[in-house]
Order: sequence, then C-alpha cells, then structure tokens
Amino acid sequence: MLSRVANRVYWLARYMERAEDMAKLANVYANLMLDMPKGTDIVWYNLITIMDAEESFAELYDDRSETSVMSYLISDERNPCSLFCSLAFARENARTTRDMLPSEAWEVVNELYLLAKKEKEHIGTRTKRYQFLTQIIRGGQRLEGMLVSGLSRNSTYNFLQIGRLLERADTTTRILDAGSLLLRSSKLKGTEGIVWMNLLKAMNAYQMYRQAVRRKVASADVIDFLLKDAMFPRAVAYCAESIAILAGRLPNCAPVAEKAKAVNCLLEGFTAKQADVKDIHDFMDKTQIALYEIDAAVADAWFNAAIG
Amino acid sequence: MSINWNEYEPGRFYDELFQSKGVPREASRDVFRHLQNLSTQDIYKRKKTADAAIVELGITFTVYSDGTNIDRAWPFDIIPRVICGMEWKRAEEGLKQRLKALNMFINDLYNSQEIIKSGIVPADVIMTSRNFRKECIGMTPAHGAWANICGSDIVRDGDGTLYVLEDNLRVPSGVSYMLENRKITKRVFPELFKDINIIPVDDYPAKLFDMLTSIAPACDKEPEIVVLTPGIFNSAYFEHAFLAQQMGAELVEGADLFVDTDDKVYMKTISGLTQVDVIYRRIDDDFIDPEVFRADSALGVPGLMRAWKKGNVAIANAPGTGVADDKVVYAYVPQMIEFYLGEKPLIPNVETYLCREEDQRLFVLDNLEKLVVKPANESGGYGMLVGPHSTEEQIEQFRYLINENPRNYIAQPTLALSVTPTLTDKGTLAGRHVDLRPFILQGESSYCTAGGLTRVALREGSLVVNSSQGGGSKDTWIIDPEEA
Repeated sequence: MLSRVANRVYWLARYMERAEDMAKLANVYANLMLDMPKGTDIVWYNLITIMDAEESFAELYDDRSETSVMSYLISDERNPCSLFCSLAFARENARTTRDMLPSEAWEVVNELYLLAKKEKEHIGTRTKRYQFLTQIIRGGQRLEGMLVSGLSRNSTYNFLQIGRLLERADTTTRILDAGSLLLRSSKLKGTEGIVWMNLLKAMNAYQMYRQAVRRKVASADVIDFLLKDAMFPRAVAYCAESIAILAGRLPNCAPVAEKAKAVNCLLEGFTAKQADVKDIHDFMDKTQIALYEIDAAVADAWFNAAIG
Repeated sequence: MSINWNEYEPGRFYDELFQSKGVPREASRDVFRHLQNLSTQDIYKRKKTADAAIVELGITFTVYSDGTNIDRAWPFDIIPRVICGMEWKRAEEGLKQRLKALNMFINDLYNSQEIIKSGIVPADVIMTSRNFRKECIGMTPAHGAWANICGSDIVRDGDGTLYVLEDNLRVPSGVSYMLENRKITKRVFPELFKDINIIPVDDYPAKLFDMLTSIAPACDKEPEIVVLTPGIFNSAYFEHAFLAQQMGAELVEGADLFVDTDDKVYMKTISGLTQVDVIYRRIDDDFIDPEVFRADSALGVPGLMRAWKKGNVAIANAPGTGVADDKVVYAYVPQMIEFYLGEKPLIPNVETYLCREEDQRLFVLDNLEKLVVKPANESGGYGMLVGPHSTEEQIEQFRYLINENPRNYIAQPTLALSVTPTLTDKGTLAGRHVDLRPFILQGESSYCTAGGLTRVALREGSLVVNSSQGGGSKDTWIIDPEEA
C-alpha cells in the first residue's frame, strides 16, 4: 500500500470521528443547560478550554457567549478544528481514496459535507442546530457501519480503524476534562449525577456504564470507567489496546505497538479517587501527549518511508 | 415522438449504418433487423437502462472549474456504430504499420538521423520542434519502441474512405471509455451480443499490461509496474485510476516516487521503499522531471530522466516521443512508411498543406475560407481555424499568424465527416457526425484495439466531438458480415 494512500485514509477516519464527536459534545452541552438548576450558569467557554483553543478563539471572537463558542467550534472556516473544516478535510481525503473504499462511503462523506455547507449558517437557534448536528451524527454512524460491514480487513481497514480509535481516545480524555471542569463550579454542587449522565450519553456510554458500574453515577467511577475499561469501545484503554492489535497486522509495527502499550501503562498507574480537578486535568494532558506520540509513531513507521 | 428506422434519412453525408434510406450496410444487417423490431418505448427503456448503468458504474468525466471538480455523468448514445470486420482488419494493419514506422522514425531522430540525411524530412522541421528533447539523443528504448501507446484519430470522408487525421503519441486518453461503453451496451442489448458476432474489446488492459511487462528492464522477478497520474484534478483521472485497477498496478503521484543515489526509482509504501521497473506515465514530458525539464513542476519525479537513461526504469511513452506528435511531422508519415518499411501506407493521410513550404503557403492563404488550419503542436482542438465556419476577422487573424510563423501551421481541406444514427434529446433518430480513436500498442509486439472509442457530435450539424463541448460517445462494433 502506498504511504500517501495510507496517510489519507487514516486522516479520513480521524476527521470523520472528530466531526461526529464535536456534534455529540455540542448537543449534549445544550441539553445539559436544560437540566441545570435555575441560576446556575453552564460555561460554554469550557468547551474552548478543553480543546486547548483559548488563543485561537481569542483572536477571532470578543465575547465568550454560546453563539461565539458554537460558531467557532462548528461552522467557522477560520478554525481548522471546526466541525465544518473536519468534514471538508475528510471529504478531500475520501475523494482521493475513493477506489479503496466501498463506493457508498464517498457518497456519505460528500453528502455530509454538502449538508454542512448548506446548514452551517443556520446554527444560531438551538432547535436548528440540534437537528443539523443529529444529522451529522447519524451520517457518521452510517459511514462506520458501512466500513465495518463492507470493507475487507486489509491495510486500508487497519489504517481507518487506527485513525478512528486514536481520535476517539483523544475525545474521551477531553470530555472527561470537561466534566471535571464543570463540577469545579461550586454552584453546581449536587448536580454531579446529571452532569456525568449527560456526558456519558454524549459518548453513547450511559447504558454500558450502568451495566458495568452498579452504583450511583459519581465522578471517580465515570472517569475510571472511561479511561480504563477494557471492553467499552470508547474507553481510552480499549482504544489503545485495539491500536496495538491493529498495528500488529501491518509491517514494521513495533514502535507503534510500543507507544500504544505505553498509554495502557500510564492508565494503570492512575486512579480517579482522591484526584482533584487539577490532578485530573494534568493527567488528561499527559494522556493526550501519550496519544500524540502514537500518532507520531504511525507517521514515522508508515507514512514517511525512509529515504536515502 | 416515435422512432421509425425506415424513415431515417441518411442525408448527404456518408452514413455508417445505412447504404441508403431503409437499406442497411451489409455488416449492419442484423443490428438493423433487431433495432427495427424494437418499439419506440423499448428504445427509451434501453436508454434508461444505459443511464442507470452509467451512474452505477460511476463513469464520469471531470470538469474543473472555480477550484472545484465537477464529475459529470458520461454522455453516451446507445445506438452502436458498426464497422465491417474486413474493412477493420485492413485499418488495423495500417495502424500498426504506421506506429512501427513512427517508432523507427523517432529512434532514427535521436540516433543517426538517416531520414534527414536522405533529404526526406527537412532538418529544420525537427530542430525547431519544441518536443525534440536533446536529452534523449543516443537512447534506444526496449524494442526500439518510443511510443508504446498511441491513440490515432480516424475519420471517414464523404467518399467512404478512412483517413488518419492525427496520431496522438504523448498521453492519449479515452480507452477506459471505450471499455466502459462496451459494458454499458452489454447491459442495454444483451440479446444482440448473443446473436451477432461482435469482436470483444475487453482484453485491452491485459494487452497493456503485457506490453508494459515486455519493456521492463531485465530482472529476475515480476516487474513492478505503476501508473503515474498528475492527480485527482486531471480531467483523465478516472481513466488513470481505472487502468491501474484493471492491471492491478499501483496508481502513483509524483510525490510517491523517489530516485535514490543509485539512480533507481522507488515508491514509498507502508513497508518501506519498493523498486519500480515500469512507469506508465500520464504526465507530459515537460513535467516528468524537474531536474531536467520544467523546474517548477510539482507533478514529476526529480531524477527520473537519470534513472531512465541508465536503463533502470522503463517509461511509457518514452520521454522525447512527442517529437512525432507534431502536425508537420504527420505530413511525412506516408514517406516514413516507405522509407523505413519499404511498404505502401495501408491507411492514407488527410491531404495536408505545410505552410513552411512557400508554394503550399500561398495556396493556403488564397483558400483560407475553405480550409481547416491547425497549429503544429497543440492537441485537443485548440487554436484552430475552420474556414467555412469562420468570420472574416478570424480568417485575417490566421493570415497574420501564418505569415508570422509558417513552420507552426498546417492546413487541410474541410472534411465531410461521416454520420451515424443517434438518439437526439427530442427522442428522435438523426444522423450525427462521428470520428474514431483506436488505440495501438507497441512493445515486443504490436496490438490494436478492435474498433476504438467512437466520439459523436451530439448537436445537429456540429463537427465537435469533445465531451466538454457537447460531444458524446458510442460503442463501436466490429462485425464480420460472413460470420454474422
């Protein structure tokens, strides 16, 4: 398989996952607003903090309102991490790798991009935004289903999955960060259960969490579950382990597998009990860096064939 | 609207299917008999089947505009164009003969230049050609074949004779559409394929693969063959991807390839570097190697010419081949055939006036309103003058251009291109002008497609067959009347 093609399918999967995750997060955040006691103010700006986008946001917007945050994260073409840009990049990657994928895959990606292009100016009202984001989520799920059921377990599949899992693990750490940040606000005391329930739903994790942890919803349990569970497909540990397995099916896989195992080791050394908000935030940063190292190892092993 | 084959008027042009009103040509007898029995509704239904097949097979051509690519469905007419097998056999021999002579000519130009010494082709014609590459002097590619893939344009004039209008030796395209057209007609008229002996065309990718294998540098393993494309924005990208897929070859872009200090070509894969033996390139000479040709080219591979000259990689078509893809050189092809092969040309050239020769130039300038004037080095119908359809002003502009640079212009009589029955967008049947592009391969041996890509000018009276300008295409059926 050509390195260029492998690189493009890997990023296709990352960008699609990124777009879908962003849509879920935005929807859940809006939903959370409705459940909060009157007088408590959910801070939309937290979303900028967890994306490490403070500087770039400040350059483009003067206020920290819901409208500005949503516009920055969803429709702004100047933000390369916005949902719209993710879809545009995903589409470019899909177009140049069409021959490698089931033929409907390109059509779905293209449709979603065209939908986003048409609808992105209408996300000011929550109802419209909710409908639009739900369509994006459904589209992402359709694409994943198509790939899982229609694509041979070849190198293309391995690269798609590695990209998706890596992006997913990264998102999980950011959502955990969001939850812990929210609860820092003293006004939200007593809403712990509701906040985490909503965030679990953002990751389609609520039912699975309930089955695995048979206690009332509490911060430490949720964080441990989403970091360390070996069976839940959005848990960081599960993602890292799957990456190691998928890498094993590709040539020259040792460095990538090693970096993936390093993430698992890091996770084993952490428990959420007794950790305060700052500890949690620091640990999420550490995990994000470890995940980034997997990405760098992937590029080294497969995309930049040694020259000379 | 209804379709009645007996009412179809062949008109004043040579008709490919009909001898005269209601009387089919011998090779078309069975096709006609069958089509005649279809009701108008049947024909429309078949048309719908074809449209659905085009969408399903994903056959598109690309129009690039405003920074975005638009894939358009391939314009296709379901009524096949029929050519008699015996006639085609002769044309096929003629095309192979032509390519053989052209290859001997190119090899001669880059080596001893016998044809110039013999005074047949004037030296200045070659030396002033911008496609003569001095970097190629002294080279002889495998089997002496420079142009491994040739797409010649063939037209039929009013008297029914087939002529070669031009030889495309650089990066001719269209063969994938020939193959896809056949797939479509098999779905549209399956019963015809059962009853009539239509020569298949599907073996082209296999023949192309064999040819490419035959030019690989000697090595003890199966050669690694790649198709080099300029990328997704190229209008022929569909074809590049199609051919690579059909041959099981990698479709690569310039950035995927790399020439190492050992002057060998490698491609970058997830398993590291893999040596490449044969490159079927779909990029013009100008862009293939920024070290040698255009330095600003991001499409090519630095060092490719070095690797090629060392014999470490075969490139099809070979660099420098374009020197023979020149309309002035075209005029000398019949003489080349006699000079190199000692044979008479089996397919004639269209009569051609060279503006570089004074007497011919004077004739051209006196008859501009009757002639077609073409620049020597353009392809795709750019910069042409069609005298009978031009304004006084355009004619005067060409008079000026010819006087400025006579070497760069040739003129030909305006041909009465043949027509063939075609479904119009009004749902009726009418004659439309067609040409034909067969594809000829030459490596260790020669091969010519059975027929080729028939292009049809879908607008009434139009002679323009380009798909970007209202042209479409048809399947081409070679049928032997004795076997039919």
